[in-house]
Amino acid sequence: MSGAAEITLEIAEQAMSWYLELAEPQVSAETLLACQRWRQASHLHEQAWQRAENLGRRMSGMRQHRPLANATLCGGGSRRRVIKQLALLLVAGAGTWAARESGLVAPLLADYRSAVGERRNLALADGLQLQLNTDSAIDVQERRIELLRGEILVTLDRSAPGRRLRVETREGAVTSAQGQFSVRQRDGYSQVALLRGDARIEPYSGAPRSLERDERVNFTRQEIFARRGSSAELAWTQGMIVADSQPLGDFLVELSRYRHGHLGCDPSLAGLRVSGTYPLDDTDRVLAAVSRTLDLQLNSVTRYWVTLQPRAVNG
Amino acid sequence: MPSSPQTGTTDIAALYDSQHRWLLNWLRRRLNCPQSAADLAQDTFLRLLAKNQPLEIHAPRSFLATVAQSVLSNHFRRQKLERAYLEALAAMPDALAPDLETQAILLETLVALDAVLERLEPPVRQAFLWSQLDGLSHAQIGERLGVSASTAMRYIARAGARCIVLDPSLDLA
Repeated sequence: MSGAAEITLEIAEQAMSWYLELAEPQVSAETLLACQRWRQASHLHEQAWQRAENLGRRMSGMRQHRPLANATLCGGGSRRRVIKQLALLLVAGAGTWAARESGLVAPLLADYRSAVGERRNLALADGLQLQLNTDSAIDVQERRIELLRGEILVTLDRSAPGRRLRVETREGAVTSAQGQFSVRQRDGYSQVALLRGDARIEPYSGAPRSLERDERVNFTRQEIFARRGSSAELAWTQGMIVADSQPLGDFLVELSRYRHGHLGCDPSLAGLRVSGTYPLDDTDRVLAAVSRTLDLQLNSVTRYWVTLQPRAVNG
Repeated sequence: MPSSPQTGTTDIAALYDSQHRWLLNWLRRRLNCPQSAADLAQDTFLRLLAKNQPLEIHAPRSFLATVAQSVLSNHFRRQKLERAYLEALAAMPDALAPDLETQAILLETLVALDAVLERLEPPVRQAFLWSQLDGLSHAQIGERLGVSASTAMRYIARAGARCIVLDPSLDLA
């Protein structure tokens, strides 16, 4: 090894691969740990990792100027493309969450939970609305919410003067003065998406950081990792589940959050791509639709043990 | 390379004396702006100085022309980016346009990014932009490019790795 070592393309590619892997919507705690180990293996790894993170931050910082950036880089001056992208941005910005339970204001000190397959809207005092996704539980103590399980969407119209709302997970806290964001407790980490307003992540043993609008991150107790998000992940707030060319295996994991029992597929099918927008209220129908589209056989031993298999070919 | 900067510098000074006028003319004929020609002539000599290597110049003019050609094509590339950028800006509602300072930073960042990504194969470059700028998933990118999601991810990693290696300013951010 030479003394004045430089980051090689190979190391840089590894760093980027880790960075991309951690940006996936589904990350296991083992992957996080493996990445940590890779970074600690050499200072060049760590340096390359830092650059990958900074690159990602720089790129996502550019994202809010996406029409400009895209038109410049892919240029040749297509006005139409710019206008089209602008239209998309405006449409995405206009989507708001309207669902709200009529008039009832829920108490500010309480536990709330939602059953498997259930979604609950709670309007708390002070311009605070919560939506619980399936199989979720929270403990509300005025401006402090503990997410015990599952996933919530927080909509905070205005903040009580001087006090930020605080949502705590097993790994840290998300605080906000005003805005809309979702928090999901995963196995070994927390997942956050900021839709509008402000939010700040405070890992219990790591450096805090404020999120940009539209930013999505995972965080452990030590660190915050940028991740790629999609509008599909918040489709549940509209009672929908959206697959956008998602591997069947991942889609079923996601869908199984909304129903009891085992849901799986033959390993040979896990990589098949699913696309579609389905209502969450009847997961049996979703399964039927998916298996029809992909021409698979739906095997249900009972309603609680369902597997998708290749269609048996006779003769 | 056992180089002697001293020789290099001297060579360049001599080259500058004897060829500066010629280079200026050469550039003027390829540009429609005398101001830019002077700037680019300067850039050409700066680039030679930065190389800090002894020059083996048997045919000084064709040597200078080669370097100037590359300076020139960078210039055109930047112009093209600027033009696309300004056109896009003009097409935007004023309310959505970033403030001037942000604009300046944005344009510089885009030019730097473009320079790093320039030599990559188009699908690799495109995969990177779709992923990092548009936030598309690897599967979506793979579908658009007609490759698997894992290949798409390798493309993105390859382009990103180039940025990591070539852009030391990423240490600071």
